[in-house]
Amino acid sequence: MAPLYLVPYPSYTNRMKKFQIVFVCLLLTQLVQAQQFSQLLPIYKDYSSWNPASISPSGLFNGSINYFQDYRGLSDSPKMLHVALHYPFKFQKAAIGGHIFRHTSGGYKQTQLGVSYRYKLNFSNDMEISGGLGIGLFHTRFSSDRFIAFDQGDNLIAVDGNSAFSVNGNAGLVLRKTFTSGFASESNSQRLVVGFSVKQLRAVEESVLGLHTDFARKNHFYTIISYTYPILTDIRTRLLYTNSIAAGAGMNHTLLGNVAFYNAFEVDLGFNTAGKIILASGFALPEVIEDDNIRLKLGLIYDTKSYIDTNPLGISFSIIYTYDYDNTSYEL
Amino acid sequence: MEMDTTILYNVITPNGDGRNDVLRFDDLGNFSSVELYVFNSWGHTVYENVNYNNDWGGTKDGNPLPAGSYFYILKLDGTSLSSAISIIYE
Repeated sequence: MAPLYLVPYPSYTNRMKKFQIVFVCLLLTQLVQAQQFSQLLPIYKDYSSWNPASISPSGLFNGSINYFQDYRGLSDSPKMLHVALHYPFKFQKAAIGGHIFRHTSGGYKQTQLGVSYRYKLNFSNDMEISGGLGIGLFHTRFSSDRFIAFDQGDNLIAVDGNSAFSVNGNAGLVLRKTFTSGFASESNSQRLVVGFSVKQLRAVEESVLGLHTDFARKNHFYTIISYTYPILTDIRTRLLYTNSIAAGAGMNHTLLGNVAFYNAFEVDLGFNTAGKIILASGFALPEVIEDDNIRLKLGLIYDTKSYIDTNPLGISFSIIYTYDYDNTSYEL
Repeated sequence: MEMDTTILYNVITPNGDGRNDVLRFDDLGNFSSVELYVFNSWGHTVYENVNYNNDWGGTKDGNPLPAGSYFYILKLDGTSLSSAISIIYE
């Protein structure tokens, strides 16, 4: 049966555009999931890297540096450096973000570049929903000179400098709901935040030297629930729950409690189902310029695994530096 | 047997070619107790065996683990040794 066109038959140009759109959609839906569990490490430190809808959650220009080292004392233990910038515009309704993620672990060195976009819809004075899209490029390289192999004649590890690229796409939603309470103020209100995101990865170029990373097709899913409750005018508590379901890493839960005093000093205590206790403390530097907010946070993670009795193997630490700045006054 | 002489191999390539398909250690028969614990970067245990016999091939519950870096604790007669380990596929 011939198709019935209610509109003029699309021109070649229009068909090409449709083809391109379909191609991009297919690409996004097929983007897969390498394991790359290293990408999951800092989820409780910078959730915005995993959910593009949560970039610039405060509506401020934001810059952050996060250094993380895990399993200190173990040779070739994981080390991670994460740098992120978030820039809001359209009077905070929209924002773009970028991050660089560098991770070394064992013989692997992994680098990720990512950009994100989010748009916020205000449904009322106290509720907003943000949607975001992100795309990233992930590069994995390993150095065979770090390998100690039982069988030295293995061709798979005989060549140094093998590498592989992958592309990842992610999408997310975040809902924020503000409630009134007795101690609420503009900067210290009772809030509920619920976020969900999915990340898909795909190796698009297998190795240049004959090796490749043949990962199973799975997606990464992330969920975050945060509830902030002011208990006094200048003291607020926050309960944060994150969950990730990821290829190779299984399901992971993290529960984090946070108490902030005078919006200047905070303490975190958390527990991860992998058996890690998370301790962190941060403070905000005095405001130099109005609306500036510079914060420094130091964290310590202790692995409670009883069989890891070769301390300090189970100890990790992270250093987080964050800078927020209100740029809306510069918008036309 | 001296623990200090135990070589901690840190790569396996479980592709069935007979080369580095499993994580091996030399002279395990000289120890009365050999335990192996492997965990990923999250800290999740992906393999544990309190009577290890050079037979772990990069799997969890029988399924191949994704390529990447993992970490293991090898306990020989109660003494712990540890290392990172990389899984590489062809």
